[in-house]
Amino acid sequence: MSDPKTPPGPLLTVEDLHTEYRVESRVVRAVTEVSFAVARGEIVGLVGESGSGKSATGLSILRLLPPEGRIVRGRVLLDGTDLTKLPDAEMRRVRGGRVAMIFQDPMTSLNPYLRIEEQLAEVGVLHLGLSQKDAIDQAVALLDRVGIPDARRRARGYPHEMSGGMRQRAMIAMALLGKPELLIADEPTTALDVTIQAQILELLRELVQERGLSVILVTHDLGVIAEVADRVLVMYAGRIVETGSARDVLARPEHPYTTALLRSVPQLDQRAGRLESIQGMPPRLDQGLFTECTFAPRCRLVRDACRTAEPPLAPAVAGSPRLRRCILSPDEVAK
Amino acid sequence: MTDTLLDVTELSVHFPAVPLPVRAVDGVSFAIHRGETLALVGESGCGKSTIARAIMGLVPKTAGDIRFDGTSMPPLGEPARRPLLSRLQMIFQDPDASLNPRLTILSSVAEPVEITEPKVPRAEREARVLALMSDVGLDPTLAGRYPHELSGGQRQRVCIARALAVRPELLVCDEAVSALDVSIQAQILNLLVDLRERYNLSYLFITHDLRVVRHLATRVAVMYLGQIVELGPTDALFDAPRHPYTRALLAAVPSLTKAKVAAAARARGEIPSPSNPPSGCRFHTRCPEVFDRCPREEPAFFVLPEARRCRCFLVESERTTAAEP
Repeated sequence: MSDPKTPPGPLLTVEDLHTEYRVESRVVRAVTEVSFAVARGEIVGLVGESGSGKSATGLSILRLLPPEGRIVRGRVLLDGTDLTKLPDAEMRRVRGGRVAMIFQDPMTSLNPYLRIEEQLAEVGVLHLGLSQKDAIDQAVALLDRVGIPDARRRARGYPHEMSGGMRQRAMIAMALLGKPELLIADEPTTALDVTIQAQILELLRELVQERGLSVILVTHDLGVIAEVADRVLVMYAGRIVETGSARDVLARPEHPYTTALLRSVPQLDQRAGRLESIQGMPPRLDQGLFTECTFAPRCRLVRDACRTAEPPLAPAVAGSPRLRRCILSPDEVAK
Repeated sequence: MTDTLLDVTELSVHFPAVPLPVRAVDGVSFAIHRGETLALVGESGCGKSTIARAIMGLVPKTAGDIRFDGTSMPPLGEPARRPLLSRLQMIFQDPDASLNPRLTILSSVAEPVEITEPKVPRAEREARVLALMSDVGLDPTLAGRYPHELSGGQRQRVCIARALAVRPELLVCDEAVSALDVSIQAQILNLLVDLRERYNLSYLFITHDLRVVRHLATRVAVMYLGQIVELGPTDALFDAPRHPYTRALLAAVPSLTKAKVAAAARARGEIPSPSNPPSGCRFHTRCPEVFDRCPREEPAFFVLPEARRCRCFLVESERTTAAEP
């Protein structure tokens, strides 16, 4: 399909991804029918609430699911190579190499017994075949680049000697060591204070411009999406319910869930009379297939037709890059 | 009865540590009036939660005075504290850590009533619990369930019902909505607004989330490294922040509507350790508007017009001669 030397098209294509968790006798359908692409140099935001499948999607791409989770259908194409079919040894080279991932809590990814420079150098030795000394030099250069002051001295310290913001910078440096083309960042700023969060988001933006990096940013915070994402995928009950450019989706949502989510976030510049909360709770994902729109029980615009089948992810106007899983017209949703 | 429900004067809470004590709260003064919601905002380590814990008597104060309805509060455990137990209640960020997993919802909510009002007959107590449950938006048929059978939002409602069971006047909320998904967070914020009116409650609302503050608070106190750096009515403080730290905080909040903020307004670097705060103004190491006086001298908490206060030399010329509130 694509020429491996000068790859055109998107860097990553996820096609019809289905991921399940088997817990005891239950089957939790964590990800259902998820398809999207990530272009080079693009920041794609995956946004949703707890249990929406956003993290499971990120973990599926790198095959980092816990033992009870597995991909049951679909393809994950990195420049045309299906990662779901790759032998384990090759997959290990992809992780930390062409695709890197960072998490909310850097302490779960950093070894508390090793000096920062030792664990970072490991990546250079393993993925780039550098000598230990060169790998450390490169690690220090990257620590400096991500804004760690006095990087050479800091690199000789241990993770617990760093603040949360510093550790997240060190994680980003570690992710960059393997010269990744794609970075999957799962709630990278959620545990950080806002002034530090702003610094880290700024850093991500700079790295995208500087290195042509692509980023999948998993977050629950629509504000973070508005700050950095080019495109957004809104997830609900394991599905993408709306997608389009971040600016369009946030300004003119075409799915009632996106609308409700936006209205439930308090705003800084004005005091709302009352926040619009979404009644009820998200549906359980272990009760078999859905025979209606997954959002129907909570939707303020629900009508009989919503109860008969789950709508497909489709454009409101044929050919539009904006897709939504809803049978209503954008005008009806905007009401 | 005075209009001032809670009066905190020059409160300090220091924790012993080696080599230096942690000065978690350092000379903080504020008041909460009846029916008011005062928000305490700030980042990690600013001392906001320690203030809440000191008010509730959960940590001993090092210096200063905490008066409730005109009376100085005795430490927790002293008999003189008992009459105050039901007048102040607290809810926490994590409802799982605040609910006993072995008690049904009914027992959890009834327990504080049993303790503070032992003479209330059982039937009346249970009727009160069921009424409270519907007040906080919980289906009373859940009364026989256990915490693990409820969602996070429902469990936080149980904590709110339990706090209200003893008819408090002041509710201290420490990051009470921070762990909830936004759609659930909105439900709980709306509930807190409703309950404030219905029960004539005052709130001390502690959070790191400025968006929530704008929505809920009457007045705001912004904290940095153990001190209040700015205090004022919510709308005035958000629309025209005076302290560079308040401006940096507001600039850092990701917004759905505002344009990307110029990096100039942002705070640089990391939050220093409260064991060894910077000399002079504590914010000077990160301040975009720092000048030569800031590292040498500590600014006073200047009183400004319109019931505002600010701890920054840049507002010194505007201070009023009015007596401190």
